[in-house]
Amino acid sequence: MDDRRLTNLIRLAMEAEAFEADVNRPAGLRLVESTPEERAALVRVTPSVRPSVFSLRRIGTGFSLAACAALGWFLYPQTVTTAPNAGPKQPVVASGQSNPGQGYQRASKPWLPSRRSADNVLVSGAADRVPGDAADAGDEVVCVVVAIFKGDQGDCRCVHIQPHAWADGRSLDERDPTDLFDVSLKNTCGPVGDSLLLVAVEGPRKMLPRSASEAEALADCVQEAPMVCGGSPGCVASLARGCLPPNVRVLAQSVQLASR
Amino acid sequence: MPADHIPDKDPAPVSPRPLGPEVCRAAAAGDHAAFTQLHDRFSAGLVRLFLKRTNGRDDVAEDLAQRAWTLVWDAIRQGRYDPDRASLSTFVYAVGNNVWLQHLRKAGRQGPQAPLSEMDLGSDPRLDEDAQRSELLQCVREALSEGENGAGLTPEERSIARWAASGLSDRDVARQLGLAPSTANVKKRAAFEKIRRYLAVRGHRETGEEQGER
Repeated sequence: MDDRRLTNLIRLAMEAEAFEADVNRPAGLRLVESTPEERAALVRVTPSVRPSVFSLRRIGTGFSLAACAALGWFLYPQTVTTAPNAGPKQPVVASGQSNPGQGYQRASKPWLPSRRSADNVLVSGAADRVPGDAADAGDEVVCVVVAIFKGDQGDCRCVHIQPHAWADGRSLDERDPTDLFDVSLKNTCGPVGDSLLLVAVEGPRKMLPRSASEAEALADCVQEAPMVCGGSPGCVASLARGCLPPNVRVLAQSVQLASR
Repeated sequence: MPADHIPDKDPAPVSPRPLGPEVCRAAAAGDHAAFTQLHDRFSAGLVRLFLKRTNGRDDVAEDLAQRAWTLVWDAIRQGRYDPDRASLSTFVYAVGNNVWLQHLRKAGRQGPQAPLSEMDLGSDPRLDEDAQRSELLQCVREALSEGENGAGLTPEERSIARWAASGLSDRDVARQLGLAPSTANVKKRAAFEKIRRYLAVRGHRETGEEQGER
């Protein structure tokens, strides 16, 4: 066996190791198994603040999305939170400002980009707003949208999850990824980053991500999207599908927010 | 715990345990839950593997992943894969790699990452079966491992072997270690020789004329 062949074998063995690490990584969503008690322990009830609503398509036609969102942010600064002491690989679960004493403080200049480290993630949970979350069999088909805001280094800056009802009643199977531009995000959950990844998931309610930690797990699942997928929405959806139950439908779209 | 309480830190995520041989055997024997466990663990990993190799072509990636998974399952069901001789992840990777090579050959082009010859596990006729390919890969993995089952490489030799496989030249390796390039080359040869001996003892030996240095 010559050096070249041995070197190739070692390289393939290293790839096999990486594959093993990938399939055994701890990013699985606990969608079916998570109990209401578990969700309650991890999800902060979204405060009843005035939501800053913006429509991606509307803004995208005329103005810089980043500028508008920043303006919206400025007008509704009460939705800003920061996570000053979060350590690496420890996502910060937060969704509002109702109790800033619990390790969160209002950003003094909310219109400036956040300087959080790449590993710190703000998660805005809206689990309590998923229709009928409290009492139902969980078989009704609903749709949730997970919005993942990323910084200029591809770092996940914040994650927001919200239910979404399509006006025309069509399912995700019949939709184009560009339809996601029509989703009005109820919360930007932090200073707007460089890009936004929207992942819509449709299926039986009990199968969908609905807590902040589940949304963050989904975000973790597609964190390689910018590197692997480029701008392919189908590729992002494939990555997301890998972390979701097999019988849910997924649609994804990435949006560039800041001009480079 | 009140609903508005935010823990300072999420509970540390727990890595799923690697699936052992018993899960494979149970799946092969018709245990639906075991099959689901295998599928859930590996099918998404295969899609991710192919998404990376196809530069995000999700249609191609999902098709290749499906093909690879079918081959994996056939091998498990028909008893062609021996879970005692290679870990399931190594086997699935070996099948996936072979499916990728077949795809490239069919498409008549070279892969984006490396020439076909460098991705092939070899022309050894004994390696026709995916299971045998995975056993060779498993053996190389073990040779590189730190435990007493390894090839007895020193930490430095292990690093050198991995760097060399990653494409670093002797000069690059020497720079990393603060050595002369000739010394780095001597250490690399020593590491490779240990791995060769390890593989040979376990039956992965090639003909004498193939053993010459480049």
